[in-house]
Amino acid sequence: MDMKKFKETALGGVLNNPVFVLVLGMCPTIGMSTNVTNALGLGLATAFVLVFSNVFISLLRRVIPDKVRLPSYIIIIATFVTLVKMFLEKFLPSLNVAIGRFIPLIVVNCIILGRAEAFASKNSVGYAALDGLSMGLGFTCSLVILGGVRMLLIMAGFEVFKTAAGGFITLGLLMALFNYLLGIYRNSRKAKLLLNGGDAL
Amino acid sequence: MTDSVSHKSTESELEARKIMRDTVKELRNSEKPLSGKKSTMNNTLKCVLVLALIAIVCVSLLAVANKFLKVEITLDKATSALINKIAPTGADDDTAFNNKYIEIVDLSKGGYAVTDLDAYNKTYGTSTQKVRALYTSKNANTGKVTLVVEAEGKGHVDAIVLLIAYDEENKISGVAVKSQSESYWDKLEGRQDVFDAFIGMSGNVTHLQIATSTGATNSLRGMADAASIANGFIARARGEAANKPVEETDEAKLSQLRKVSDANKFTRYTVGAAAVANAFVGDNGDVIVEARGDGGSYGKVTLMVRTESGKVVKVARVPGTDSFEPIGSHDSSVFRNDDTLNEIFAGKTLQELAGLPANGLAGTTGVTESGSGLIAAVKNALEYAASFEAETKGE
Repeated sequence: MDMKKFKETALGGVLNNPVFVLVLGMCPTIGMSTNVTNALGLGLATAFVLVFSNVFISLLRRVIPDKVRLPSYIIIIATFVTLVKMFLEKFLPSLNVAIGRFIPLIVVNCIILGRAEAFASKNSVGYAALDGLSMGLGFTCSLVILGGVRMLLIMAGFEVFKTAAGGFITLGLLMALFNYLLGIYRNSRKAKLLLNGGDAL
Repeated sequence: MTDSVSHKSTESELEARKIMRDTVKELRNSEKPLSGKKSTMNNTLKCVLVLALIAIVCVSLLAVANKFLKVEITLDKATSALINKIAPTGADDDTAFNNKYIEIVDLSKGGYAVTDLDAYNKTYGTSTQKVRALYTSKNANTGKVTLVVEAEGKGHVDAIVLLIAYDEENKISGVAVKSQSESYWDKLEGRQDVFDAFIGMSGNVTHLQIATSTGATNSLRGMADAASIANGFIARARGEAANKPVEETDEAKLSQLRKVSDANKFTRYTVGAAAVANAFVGDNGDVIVEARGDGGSYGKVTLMVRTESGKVVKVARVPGTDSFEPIGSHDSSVFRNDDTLNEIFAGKTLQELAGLPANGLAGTTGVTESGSGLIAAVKNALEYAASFEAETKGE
């Protein structure tokens, strides 16, 4: 196993975080991050779809002709989204009432189609599953953090954070913080590499 | 001579070779696009096959999942508590649930005229209107059993599920909302008048009968649709639909009926189908069908249609349906005028209806959806009236 690739894929959810770095899937991010429960529910639903659609697409990557790859991906993604919807209706009806309207939108979530096109269609099943899991958990964590912060602010009496405008303000601030911390991490990595290079020299 | 002949033959040979070469070249050239076409065809076929295969696999997966994940409606505590509010058992919510004063009805076990809910919804429901369950609520003190229907109608966002309690005359005695995910629901919160408006209603319900200017019209439509199908269901479940005539007492309905008939009293035969809500017979023998037609821009078009011997005699609009809404640029005011409607439809037979242009009724254009809805409603009325009149005469 290529350890470097494994590490890169596993850390993809952080280093290429879909919400804070790639800025993908903004509609459900803003719509469903008013509280932690909804954020967690939608995040996990998206992660499930991401993992299984990545696995399926990777399995079929040599079979699917280039011309029909997008319709094929959409069919596969829509199947797993329907499964999630059926599961929520059966076992979590109250959560379904809360986040139900955003579940069908997962089909057109840029993160899922993006990962299918950019990663799953070019990599083996194992890596595709790992990428789906990493990206899915990255998305879930971002949503939960955003939902938690907004919930606290709403509880503190700042009603504006209930609205989309409040959501964007929170997202912007968290995005700045995340990228600042990511910058520090990357710089430390660079410094380490340079240091190792120096040693080698 | 021989030389010249041999020379000539060589020339012709050369010419023949040249022709052969050209032909071969041509054939080779023509082979190229031929193989190209072949490969394009193969690629297209491959695309179609792969897509079809993926679709089949996905559909199979969903079909298997549906067996395990299909939602079966059961009576839970929350639903029981809601039913206890609209059809009181005389006990507290926990006792009512634990002592089974409130129960879900298994229609397949008999006792009601409807035995299969799926089949009922296929016949009388639509993709946006269906009956989900029937419950009984027994009063612990009096022993009186109230029937409660769980029905859904499509609102602005998704289905609105209502619990509707009925009295012995199949009139609504209480309404509670089981679930909804409407974005404008806050406009209806605290509006008890909206829910009170349902009380005493039967037959087809339009949203304008419930409330006006709420800011949540589509949610009201969903609720009205749920109530309409539940009203039809309760009458049929009790075996009274179409067969047991009841005198119409609803003033709103009577005023609509009087637009098409001079009769003083009307007897209602509840039909409760998606195409026909009710049939009425006036005390002077007039037959009026309350019919609906799909195709309206803002929902179903509903008309009161008086018929006689397979022909339309008079038509009147039922307010609050489709193009009768005065909405901005979609205002097809010509259809909000009963006189115009009568000019179009009076005297028409089923065959003559088929020739009417949906996008040119009364010279209007750009109202195709409403036109289709109107034609469909009159067609449904004539079709039902034919069988209804035959049945009535037979009796």
